[in-house]
Amino acid sequence: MNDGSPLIDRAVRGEPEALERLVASQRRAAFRVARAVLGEPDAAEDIAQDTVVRLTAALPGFTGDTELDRWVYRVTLNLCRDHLRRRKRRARDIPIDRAEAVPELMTESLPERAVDLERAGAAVAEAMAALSSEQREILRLRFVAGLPYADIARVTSTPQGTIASRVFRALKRLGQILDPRHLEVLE
Amino acid sequence: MNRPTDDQLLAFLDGTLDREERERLLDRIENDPALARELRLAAMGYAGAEPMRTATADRPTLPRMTPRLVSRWWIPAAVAATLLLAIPTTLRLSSVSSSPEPWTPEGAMAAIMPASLPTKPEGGFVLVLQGRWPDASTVGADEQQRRAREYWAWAANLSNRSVLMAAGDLVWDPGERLGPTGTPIAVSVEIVESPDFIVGMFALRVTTVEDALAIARECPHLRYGGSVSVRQVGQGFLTTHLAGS
Repeated sequence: MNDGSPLIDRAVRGEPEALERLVASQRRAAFRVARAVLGEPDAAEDIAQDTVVRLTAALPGFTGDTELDRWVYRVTLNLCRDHLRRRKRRARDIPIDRAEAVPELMTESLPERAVDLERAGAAVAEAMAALSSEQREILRLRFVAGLPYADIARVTSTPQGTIASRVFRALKRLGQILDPRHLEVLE
Repeated sequence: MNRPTDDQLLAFLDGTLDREERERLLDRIENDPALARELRLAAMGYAGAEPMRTATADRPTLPRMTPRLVSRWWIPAAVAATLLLAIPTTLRLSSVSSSPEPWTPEGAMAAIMPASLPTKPEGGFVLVLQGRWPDASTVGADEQQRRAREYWAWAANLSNRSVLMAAGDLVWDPGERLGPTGTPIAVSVEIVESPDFIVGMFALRVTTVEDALAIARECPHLRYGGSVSVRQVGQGFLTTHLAGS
C-alpha cells in the first residue's frame, strides 16, 4: 500500500513492495559504482548484492533518502576496495592465467591471512618506492596523515586543484604498479 | 559533458560526490573506455594506499591532550633528542681532539666516541615546542585530531625534505624531575600550565639559524597559541656521529 510517504519510510515500516523497490534501486546504484571501479560486471553484481544485504540489515537506522544514498555509495566503494586488495593478493600468489578460477572468498587460516596481509603491505611499500618523491609525499599526506586536500594545499603552498591532479596521477601510477595485469612485468 | 576534472574523479573515489554529480560522471565513464581505465587504475592505487593510514594510525599525535598517556610516536628518536638537550655544552665534540685529561667530561666523551669522528661535525638545531593550547580544555576531539594531523603533516613534510632528524611529542603531565643528588623535585601545576612548559621537540638537520627559524615559523603550534624556541645543538648531533661510526 502506498500512503504517499517516502519510499524509505515505508520500507522501514516493513511494506514488502516498498522494500523491494528500494532494494532494487539501490542495487542498481551500487552496481553502477562497482562496475565503474572494477570494470568487471560479475564482480560488480556480487558487490551490489553484498551491499543490499548490508543495507537491509541497516535499514531501520536511516531517516532519509540522501543519507541512505550516501551510505550505499560508500559501502559499495569500500567493498570494491576490499575486492581489489584481494584480487591483488591472489594475483601475487597465483599464475595470472589461473587467477580468475580462484573462488572469490578464499578460506585462509588466520596465520595465512596475516602472512597474506604482510605481503600485501610489502607490495604497496615496493610500489610506493617506485613513485617519484613528490608522488610519495603527496600520498603520505593524504593517506597516512589523512589530511583533506585543502590542508595539503596549505601545507605545500600549492593550489588545491593542482593537489587533486597530483593525487589522482599518483594513484593512477600506484594502480599501474599494483594492478595484477602489470604484476607479471614486475615479477 | 566535458571530461570530468581530476578533482571530480578523486571525489568519486573518496565517496564524496553527491548523487547528481555521480550519475553524470558514471554516464560519462560508461561511454568513455579510456576514462574508465584511468578511474580503475586510480581505484586500484586507492585500494593500495588506503591501508597505509591504518598501519600508521597510532603514530601521529602531537600534542596530546590526555594526561598520562605514553607517547608512541618516534619514542626512540625523542629519547635521543631529549638526551641531546641534556648534554652540557662542556661535552662539545670540539674538545675531543685536544687530548683532554681522562677525568674531565671531555675525556669521558672521548672514551666512548669512535676515533674516526669527523673533525667538523654536522651542525643542527632543535625546535622546542612550548605551552599547551590555551583552549585545550574546551576544544573537541575532532578538532584535536584535525590539529594533530596538521602537526603530523608539517613533520612529514620536513621528513620528506630530509630535514627532520628526530621528533617527539611529550605527554602533558610534568613527568619526573630529579635534583643533583637524585632527589625527586616536585613540579607544580603552575609549571605545567606555564607557557614555557615543553610539549614537544624536533631535531633538525639544518646548518643556519635562518633555516631553522623559517621552519619554526611554519610550525602549527604557533597557530594554536603555543611558542617555539629555536636552539642550536653545539657542533652537531651525537646520533649523527654514532650512526656514522
